[in-house]
Amino acid sequence: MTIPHPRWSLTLYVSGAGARSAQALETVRRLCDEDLAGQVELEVVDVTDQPGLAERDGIVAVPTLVKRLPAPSRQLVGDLADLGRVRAGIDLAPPSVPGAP
Amino acid sequence: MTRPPADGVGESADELARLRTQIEELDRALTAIRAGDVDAVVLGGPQGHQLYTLVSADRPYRVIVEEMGDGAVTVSERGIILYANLRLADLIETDRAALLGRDVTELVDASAASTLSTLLTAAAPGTTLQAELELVRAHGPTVPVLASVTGLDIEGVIVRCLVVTDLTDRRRGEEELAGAYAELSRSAHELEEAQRIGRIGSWFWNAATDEITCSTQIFRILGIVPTSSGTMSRTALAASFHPEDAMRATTARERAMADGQPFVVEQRVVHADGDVRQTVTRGEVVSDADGAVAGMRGTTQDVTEQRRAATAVLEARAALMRQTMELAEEHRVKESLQRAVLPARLPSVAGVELAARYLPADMPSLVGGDWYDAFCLPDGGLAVATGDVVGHDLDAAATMGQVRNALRAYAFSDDPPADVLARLNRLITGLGDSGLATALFGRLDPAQRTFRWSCGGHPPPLLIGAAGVRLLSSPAGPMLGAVPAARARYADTHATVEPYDVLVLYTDGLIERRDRDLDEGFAVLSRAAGDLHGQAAETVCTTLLERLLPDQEHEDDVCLLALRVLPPGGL
Repeated sequence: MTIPHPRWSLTLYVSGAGARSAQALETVRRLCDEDLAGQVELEVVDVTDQPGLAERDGIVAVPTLVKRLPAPSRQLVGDLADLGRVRAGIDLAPPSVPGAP
Repeated sequence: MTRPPADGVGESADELARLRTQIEELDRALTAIRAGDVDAVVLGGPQGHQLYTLVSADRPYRVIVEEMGDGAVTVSERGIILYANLRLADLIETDRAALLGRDVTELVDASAASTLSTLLTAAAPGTTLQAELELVRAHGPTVPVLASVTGLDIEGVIVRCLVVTDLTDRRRGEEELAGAYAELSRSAHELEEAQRIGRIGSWFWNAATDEITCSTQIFRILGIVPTSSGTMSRTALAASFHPEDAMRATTARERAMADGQPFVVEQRVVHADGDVRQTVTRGEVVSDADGAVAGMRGTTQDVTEQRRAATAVLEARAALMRQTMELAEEHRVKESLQRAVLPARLPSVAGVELAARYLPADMPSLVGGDWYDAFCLPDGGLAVATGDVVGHDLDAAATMGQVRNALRAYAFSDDPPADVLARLNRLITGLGDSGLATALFGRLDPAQRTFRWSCGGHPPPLLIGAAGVRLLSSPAGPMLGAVPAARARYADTHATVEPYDVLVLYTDGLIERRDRDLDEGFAVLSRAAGDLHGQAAETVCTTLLERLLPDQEHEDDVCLLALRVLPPGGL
């Protein structure tokens, strides 16, 4: 499925066998489904299979989440299990809670 | 930062330079790591610093997983695909990279999604569960697979490994096996039915066990209850046959073992109720790969009904032959009699031309009593007669001979035709053999051109004259033998005949048909003769037979006598 005009472009670098990668993938998947539904293009790259792609973005460790759009680009390396930390890392405001100011 | 703030700008410049240096060092370290210039990195963790090798130790396992024939997937606790091997991507015809991050239940048929979810949830770390599922392919039908899920706890993170084995070939194999089994069952059933209908059973004697495996029909033929194993010993089998025939099978079997040739042996089977059945057993030696006798196979057929039918056919054929010969003999005798009583040749009389035909009936056994006669009289006249003795047997033929001879004798008197018939009637009634006959007797005087005749129960003569065709009516006397002489009255009639007129005498076989009455027959005869005036007597005979009996078929025999009156001095 292609998204017509995604405002967000994310790439998650993982290693299929890693526990951190598993957690990162869960968190990013949730983020895309809950906060950015319909406006994000997520690319998941297993660096074991595609080391060339890791070199493109200067990836030194996995998991790493790269935000390409919207500018400025950001890289988050390491523990991506905390959804709040991931939101902050890619400059995404927490979803508005009804009743909150 | 524990250092106290110093003098503004100078301090800031120093700090910047220090940070830059630090960044450069870190950058170099990263470059070295990235370039693979280090073997391992030491990282802090809850249990202190740990050594992480950069050349992955699990590489061989990764290769194994990539190269294995089954599909392999690791999924997160929530069911997100973390890794999928190439085999799985091939199996569902999808790009492998696109699988990462997707929900694993999207891989299976919607109906199986909950099954897979349950399976994943239930697979606690260290346990493996299995289920058969259908994987959804990008194109084409679903793929049946066996899914094995193993739970795994990696440093507190639950991951599940899913291995899928393609069952397509196995399913196809199972279907083919089921189809083959069904076909085999059907064939076996057909064979058994065929054996039942044909009353033929098959058997196999295994030389090694000395047992005979018999089809169900064999037991039916032998009139015994099938054994549970379907096998019999030779002794038990021999007991089913008639004691006098048992040796035949033994001899035949031993000869076949010796010369390797097929054998046929007939034996009687005696059922418990005393019914004796005739059987034919055919067999041949079965050899193993080394040429040694492995056993014998063959059939045993109940031919009792065939034998009975064949015997009946033979008996019927013999009876038919006898009957045919008897009939042929009777026919031959009757034909001889008939030839004896019909004139060998017609007389030659001045002023009259004669022709005659005699056609025996189609049925060889029905040689009739029809006859005709023509002979010269001392006064130069011509006597003509025709008659029909009732019946088609030898008695009728004998009566015909008597009537014809008696009439000849009486005709030579000068008595009028009516008196001749009266005397003939007296003779027949007097003979007392209850014979019946019709007769027409007449005298033609060519010089006087008159025809005088009398009739006893016989069809009237036909005159083909210049003015037309007419039946010469006359007072009909009774059939000869039907009325006692004292009461029988016969009368004379006479007609004038002119040159070229043709007189036709005949028996009823010429005009009688099952599908029309006698009057119609007369009308048909008159029409048939319509254009025959003046024709030669032979032509008249031929033409009338062609027109009245065109298909050469006639149930009764037929006599036909034609007389053409010639002009004075001949033609």
